[in-house]
Amino acid sequence: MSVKNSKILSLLAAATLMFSACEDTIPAGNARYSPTTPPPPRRTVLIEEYTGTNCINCPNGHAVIEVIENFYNTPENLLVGAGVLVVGIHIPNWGDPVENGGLITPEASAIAPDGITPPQARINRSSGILNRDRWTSTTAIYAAVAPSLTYPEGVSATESRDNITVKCRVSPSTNISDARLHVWLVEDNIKKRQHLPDGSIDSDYIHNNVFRAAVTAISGQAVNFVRNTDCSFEFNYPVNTAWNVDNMRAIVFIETASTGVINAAHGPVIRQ
Amino acid sequence: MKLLKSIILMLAAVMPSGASAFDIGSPNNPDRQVSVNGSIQVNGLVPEANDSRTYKEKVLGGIYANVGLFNKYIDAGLRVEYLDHPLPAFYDSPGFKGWGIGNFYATGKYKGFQLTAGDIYEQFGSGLVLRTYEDRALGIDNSIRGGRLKIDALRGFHFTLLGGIQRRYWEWSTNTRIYGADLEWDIQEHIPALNRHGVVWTLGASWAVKRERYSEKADSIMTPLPQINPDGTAQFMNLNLPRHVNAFDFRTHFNKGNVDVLAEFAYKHPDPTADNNYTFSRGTALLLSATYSKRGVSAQIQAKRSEDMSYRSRRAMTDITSFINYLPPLAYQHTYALASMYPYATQYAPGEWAFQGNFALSLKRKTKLHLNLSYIRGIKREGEWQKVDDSMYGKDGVKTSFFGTGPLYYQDFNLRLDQKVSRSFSFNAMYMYQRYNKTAIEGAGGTINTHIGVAEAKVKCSNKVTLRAEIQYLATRQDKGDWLYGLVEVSVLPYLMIGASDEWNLGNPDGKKEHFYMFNITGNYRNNRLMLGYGHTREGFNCSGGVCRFVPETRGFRLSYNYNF
Repeated sequence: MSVKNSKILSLLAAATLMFSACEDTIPAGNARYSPTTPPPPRRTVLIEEYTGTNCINCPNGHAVIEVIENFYNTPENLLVGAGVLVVGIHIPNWGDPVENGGLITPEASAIAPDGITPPQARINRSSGILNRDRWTSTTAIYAAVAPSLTYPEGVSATESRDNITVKCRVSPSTNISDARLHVWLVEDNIKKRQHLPDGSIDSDYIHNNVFRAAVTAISGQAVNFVRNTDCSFEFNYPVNTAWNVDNMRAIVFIETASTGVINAAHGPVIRQ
Repeated sequence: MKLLKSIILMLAAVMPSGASAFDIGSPNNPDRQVSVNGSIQVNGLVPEANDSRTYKEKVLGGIYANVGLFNKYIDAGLRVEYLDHPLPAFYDSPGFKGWGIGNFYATGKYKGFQLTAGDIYEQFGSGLVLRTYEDRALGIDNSIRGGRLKIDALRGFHFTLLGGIQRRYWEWSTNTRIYGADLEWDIQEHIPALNRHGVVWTLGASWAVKRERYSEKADSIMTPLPQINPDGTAQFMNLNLPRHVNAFDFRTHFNKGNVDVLAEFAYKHPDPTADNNYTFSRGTALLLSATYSKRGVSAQIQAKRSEDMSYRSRRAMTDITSFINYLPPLAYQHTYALASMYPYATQYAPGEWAFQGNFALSLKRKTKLHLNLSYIRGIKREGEWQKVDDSMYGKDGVKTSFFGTGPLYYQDFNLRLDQKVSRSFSFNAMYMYQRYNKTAIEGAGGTINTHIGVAEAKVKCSNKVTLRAEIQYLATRQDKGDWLYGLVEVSVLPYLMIGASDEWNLGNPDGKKEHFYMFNITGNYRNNRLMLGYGHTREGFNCSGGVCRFVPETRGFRLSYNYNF
């Protein structure tokens, strides 16, 4: 090898070694973490959790959801209309449809985007589809935003003669145009089988926040709000015989194309 | 659209003349000759509503148009893409829709030195630490936009240095910089005895690094499960993620006569990502391959062990994009319809032990036998691999056994016979036994065992007319049950081909015994190829090289046009 060639090679090797020196020292133990406290929520964030009874990883997703709910839905936060509202949308191909005793409703198929691989979620209809590693931090970001409308009396839902009536009053603090109002019904404490991460099946798994029906159209109801002018809404929906009304809640949320969900609220269905 | 039209008009001005070479200077000076090559590809679908979904557009598709100029000293090119209304396989991929110049480059070449600016496709060794490539059928283009220097000026040495930002659809990740270097040494160039004995022996080493920075607020990764303080209060934690992640590759490749041997090892520094539940474990990959071939017989055996070798430019990404590296699947890529119904996808993060054998034998009377065996298992670890395990955030990961294996992921035994009976008649027959762990690969579905039989015949009716027919059967007790497939194709040289096929799910246990059919006419004229068809295709996975994309069920008219110049 000539002297010139060996010099070129040496320079190249040295340059490569220099680049490879750029590496971080890998922290050990607690140095890998920095404590953080999410700021107090200032509104109620909607989490659409895409899930399925045949999804083996979904129980881990449910565990994350439960942590988020427990952290945000404290009595103090709920008093001021802040927290998180979770809707578990069981998506096609990951369980059985309701007509076969499952939890997949036809409306849920229309709500969930295609190509979902559960467990995934969409937060406040602003985040895009997220894997569970982003749920906690994204919820914190959205919950800290002050809302431009509130529900001063929450959501009132009553059941009488196999009919559910949902009422709410919306109080906007700014003009809001081209908004869509959604009213959904969810049910908690449903015992259905669930595939688990270890490959087994739990026949007595308890499913919460399960989407049951959209009272408004899938695309919502078009609404416009004038600053400081309250609006009241009332909706009716027939009870499905497969439901346990005592475990049901009505969820209301209002969104715009530019802001996503502005604020959400819910209330239990009370038999009259 | 105006830009797209301009590009197409420019290309159209060149097209009629076919492949072009023209002088920009002295006609007797070949150094000044510039050749122009390019292509146009159009894929279209007029979708009809089906049970799974509808589309708001009347026409879906994509257009790719690229042109390249080539000269002794300079190469340059660009590719325009129009993907604003993509085909169903890409329709719901966030960020896929868009149009513009997806690729451009300019390369200066002089005496063994090459300098490229623009979008770079490159592979180091087998790609275990770096491989950037384009695969349109999968919607993958992970090219690096930046610069590359290649030096072949030193006899027996090949050096590459590159750096830039990686493409994901219409975004170039400015949060992440990727750098890499590769050096290969052809030992026989410096040891004459090796050359005299016909030995080709290469040593190679590669290095890649990604530098991923993130804004604390928007990109922070917070532990989903909080830590519990001694006083019982819950505390969320942000992960302190490493900004730089290095990967190294070492390989040797030996070839003499009929024998070829490759050994390659790759190592990756701790790289907490969504793929590995944000653990600080190290990644490794070992690839061994030995091939023997001579006239009439060939044999290849391969083994691969990989663990936590998902190396991406975006740590939170979990789809098939943003990979910096590539792990070969060691599973045969089938082209027969039913044989490719359950394709294997490489398990980057959990890792795998994979073995493959390929054997081919030529017998008398133009008979060829091909045998392929693939066997892939997971890595033996403490506990089961969980794709979603939030308790692992920030941990070292679980202990694994190097030689121990975990659950079966994939197994494939296929034997194929190719027989040329006469000048006008040939047939192929194949038997395949496959085991596919749908739970491990797709998330649910158990293990599917299939027996598949294929028979294909080709009859040359005349100098111009050829008839080809296939019949396939897949038998299984799992998933959607048995399938039957038939195809008939008539080729009229040199211009026309007409085909019809049907895939029938006759064994569906749910009673939904659907037919998935396709009719198409293909015409070829000079550099043009046009296909028109109508069909109903089932949902499934389209895989290439162990990377798979879900394709939804579709029905409608199709068009495909290709022009090369």
